Amino acid sequence: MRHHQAETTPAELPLLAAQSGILYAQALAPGNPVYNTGDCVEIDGPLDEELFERALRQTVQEAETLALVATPGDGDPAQCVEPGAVPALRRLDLRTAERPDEEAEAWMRADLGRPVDLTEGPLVTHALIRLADDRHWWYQRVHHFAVDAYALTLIGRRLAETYTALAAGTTPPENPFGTLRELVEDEAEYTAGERHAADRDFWRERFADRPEPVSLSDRPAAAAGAVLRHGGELPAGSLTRLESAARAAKATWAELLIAATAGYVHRMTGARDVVLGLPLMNRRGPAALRTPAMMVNVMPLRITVQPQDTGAELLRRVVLEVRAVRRHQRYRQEDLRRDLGLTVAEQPLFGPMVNIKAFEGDLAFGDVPGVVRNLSAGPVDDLAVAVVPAPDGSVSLGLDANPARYDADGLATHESGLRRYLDGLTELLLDDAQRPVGTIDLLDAREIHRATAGRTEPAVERTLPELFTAQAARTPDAVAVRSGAVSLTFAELECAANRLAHELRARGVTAGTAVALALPRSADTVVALLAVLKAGGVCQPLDLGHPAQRLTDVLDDTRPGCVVGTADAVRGLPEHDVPVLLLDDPDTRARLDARPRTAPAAPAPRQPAYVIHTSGSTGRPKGVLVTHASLANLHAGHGADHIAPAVERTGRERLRIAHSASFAFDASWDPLIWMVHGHELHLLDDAAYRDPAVLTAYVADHRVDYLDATPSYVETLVAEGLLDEDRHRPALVVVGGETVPEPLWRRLAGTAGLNPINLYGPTETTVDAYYWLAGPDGDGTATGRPVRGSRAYVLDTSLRPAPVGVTGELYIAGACLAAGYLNRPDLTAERFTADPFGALHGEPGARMYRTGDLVRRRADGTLEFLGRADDQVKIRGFRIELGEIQAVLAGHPAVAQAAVIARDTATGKRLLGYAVPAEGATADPEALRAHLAEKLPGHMVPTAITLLDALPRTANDKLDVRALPDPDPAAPTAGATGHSGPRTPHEEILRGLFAATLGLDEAPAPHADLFDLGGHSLTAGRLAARIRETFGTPLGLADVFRNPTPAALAALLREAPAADGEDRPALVPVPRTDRMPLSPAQKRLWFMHRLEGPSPTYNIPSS
Amino acid sequence: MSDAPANPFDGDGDFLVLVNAEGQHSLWPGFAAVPEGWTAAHGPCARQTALDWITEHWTDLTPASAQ
Repeated sequence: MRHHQAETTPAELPLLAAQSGILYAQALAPGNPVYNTGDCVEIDGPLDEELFERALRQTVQEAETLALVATPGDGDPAQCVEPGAVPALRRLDLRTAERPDEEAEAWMRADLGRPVDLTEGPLVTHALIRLADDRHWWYQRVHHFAVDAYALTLIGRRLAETYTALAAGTTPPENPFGTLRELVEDEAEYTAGERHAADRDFWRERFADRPEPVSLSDRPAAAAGAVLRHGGELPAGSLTRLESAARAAKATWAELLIAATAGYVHRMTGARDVVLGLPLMNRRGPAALRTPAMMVNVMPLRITVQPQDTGAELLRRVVLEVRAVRRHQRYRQEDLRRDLGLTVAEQPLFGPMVNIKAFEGDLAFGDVPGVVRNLSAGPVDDLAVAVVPAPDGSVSLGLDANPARYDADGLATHESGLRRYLDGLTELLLDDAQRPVGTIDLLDAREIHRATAGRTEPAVERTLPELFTAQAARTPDAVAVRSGAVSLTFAELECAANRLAHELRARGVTAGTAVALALPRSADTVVALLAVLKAGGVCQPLDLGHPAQRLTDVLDDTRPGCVVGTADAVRGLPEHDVPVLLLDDPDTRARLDARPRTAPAAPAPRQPAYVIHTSGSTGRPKGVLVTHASLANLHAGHGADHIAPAVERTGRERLRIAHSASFAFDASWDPLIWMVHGHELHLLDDAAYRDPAVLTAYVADHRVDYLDATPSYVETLVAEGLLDEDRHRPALVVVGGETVPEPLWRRLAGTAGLNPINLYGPTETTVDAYYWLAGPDGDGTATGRPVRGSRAYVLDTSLRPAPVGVTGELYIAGACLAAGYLNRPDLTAERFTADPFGALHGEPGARMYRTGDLVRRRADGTLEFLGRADDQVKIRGFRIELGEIQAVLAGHPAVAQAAVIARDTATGKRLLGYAVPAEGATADPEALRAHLAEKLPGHMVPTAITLLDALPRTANDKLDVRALPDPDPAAPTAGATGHSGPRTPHEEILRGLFAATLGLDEAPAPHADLFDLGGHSLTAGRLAARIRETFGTPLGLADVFRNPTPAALAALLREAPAADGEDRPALVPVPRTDRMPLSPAQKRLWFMHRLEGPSPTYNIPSS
Repeated sequence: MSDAPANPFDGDGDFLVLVNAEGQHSLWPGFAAVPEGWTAAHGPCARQTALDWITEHWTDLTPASAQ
């Protein structure tokens, strides 16, 4: 039908689908010059400028597409070839300029930065810049609406051919170009035909499970407003090398490049399902192949990559996938997006794109060569690998990126990383194509050594019992332990522990015998702990507050040879058949007094010292068995890293150490270690250390120097006055067990005289594995390093070290490792695995512990923690860092403490925020949401914020996520119909417009997101139209995308001037819906673009 | 297929059982090179088969040098 109509108005033509895509995109970003594409051809040699201009004039006349302008069409946007729309060649003479190349470059960049109005034209600039007598640059800029990269090449070739003929005095060959009409008709035929239906089936099936494409950026997808470019070059001869490597798998060098990109994305992200973008020429038949126009179609290429794939397998997979995709390349990306429901521009269909421009060759103007340099290839949503082979066998490999997702440094890193992976894959294919791609390294040998070095130090020979005995000999009369009114000197503690140790031995406790402790917190607990170690037994402190089942489980697991307890405490234990030694029994007392005061023979370093049960993922607790050697390593590490500096800083020989943790947690060993170093341990009872007011008062009253607690508990203590000016403050605050919120770290680091230590370590690495100290100046920075005897590896899913800045999983190796899980060889063998880097550091046959924590290494070597590998949160496809949101929420002045979680609900995962208001402050949940919305992308703003008096805590003072309440359903939340009243008239009207546009029965909440409510680009267009109509404000589609809630739009409208008196129209064109056929959404958006243009038609919709 | 990063020790490929001089055992993904100081004692086989083999053959966690 369409071309029939076109015959009556000869110049007007429907758009090609590819052109519609550009029109739509440009309409979303009116005035953005990013859709200008351009080349610079560097012509070195004598050039006849007059002849050149003649040749260009002829080429321009031949290429219809250069003379295009967009027209509103009849219902659907269309285009028109307007001969004379192309401006004449600009000629610039820069021969006398000081720096001609730079000036020329600047001139071209400025021209590329010029916005183009598609309805007005021109879409084109041609310039011939003379830099020297025999040196010219030909600059060609054309809007992406009219050309793709292949079209630019066709135009360049024709120009060169024409010039060459004219220069030789011959007639140029006949016009090779076909007409746009041919292309349009061909596409219409395809769209109506069976081929189109078959292609659609292929694509729908291939993407039926809607994979979420991974990106190399962890920043959210965002519209591409500009392009960041990083150039790179593979050396001469590379092409031959790539070709011969590819031949092994019957592949081309281009397919090898695609395989390398897929492999690199897999290695950097861990994803096994990689979706790359592949630009397809989409030119079937001779007419299409010789006609310049915008036809390119970028389609997703889905490649599975696993570490165990051999090089040949991966390459073969790419070959087959590319072949399948090529067969179905005419089906449009825009159509596939609609089929998959990806209607919001930010929802990606693919990650990085691989753009191999094998067709781009250099030109010859007579005898004078012209080297083509691409200046701009249009916007890139994520990342594009641009590959162009050169005649000398070198390959230019550049990266184009969306600056909203990548920065220049990151791009440079990716360029060298990709090259290294490509090198590795090429070498693998040439060497042994059956080797798994998981063996390819992204770091070189020296970098691997550095990244895995850690601290490998000599093993400590003496065990804790020996170290304590030596300390007791040095300071016999100093107080070792204070507990309430009781205090024990080192000599008393040594004597009591030795006697009990002898008693245990007499009762059959020997190397490896577990001894359970069922004692109330008291000085006796410390005596018993030490005694078990001295006796060579395995200490198992029980938490008497635990449920009976748990106590039964752990006793069944260790089968202790003895329970040391008090009569009261032992009565609280579930039924068991373990012999009991009651310390409060007078008979025991008498027997102990008869035992020797001297220490029994020390245990061997490889013997287990204690067992601590942690909750297992299966629900059954697992017992971590720690040896004397690693405990002694912990002792040596604390001594060198923390104790000696603290003594020096404070000038106090003996520091006061608060013990404020249950002995059933391994963190309880850190303060004990300090005592073994000669410091005074203050054992607070349960009631005291769990009560923030009592603990805070204790610290001040007893002038405590060292306090160790979870960050959330320290926050509470700070609120309780721990760091207040006018009182004694601890010199050391040790935080660990969970992520330390930045405001807390800043506060601690900024407190004069206080040194915070952030200790990280799973029980499996003997309390600590890594720590951070505050940077100088209390500026809130942190510098980290492994603890003594620990190597911290950041490995990717191929078990190879991840480059700096790349997220990987943390593995810990070295002397700090526990022996394993008691009675669980299988679990031990899967968590404590062979260490691939042990031999590099003199420990072949060493093991490493797999922590399950996600980390990345900063350039200075410090590790940054990013959460657990198994609970990565994804909301609407976006990877979310809860900690980041939490930090922003906690940064609000009215908030003392904050928590953010993702909770599964019937309608998918929801982000929920919780805030404890600061003392004396009133916090308003809506104001807090607005604060977050100001600083974070929409998908990171919790749908609701609940105010709490305090954050719920688990027994070991970590945030109790399960105890966080669901938000009050009556409270205003986003994403749901809200019941709260409007706060401004604008907002009220907007909520009504949202409801009307979306067909909702009730107005949505002020912060409800259009796209959460089921909106898409078409709805956004309708909503924009309704808003313009209602408020008379020139609001664009892009404004709705950026501010998709009634509240945000209301704020925008308040700022925007009313149209009255402005030169923008008060009434704006919108589609007459009754005349709109079911055309692709992007075509309707044409009207959004029109309204920004200079000559709107006035058209009032009926609804 | 999920796009969540898969830990190589949780994967579905082939696995080996490695043993070192201390008699300690390690599950090991078949694609990765066997680290120095370790030798393959079993496999390649499925993950669970490897774990079962370990349960059966590694009955004492105590390192050989401490026995």
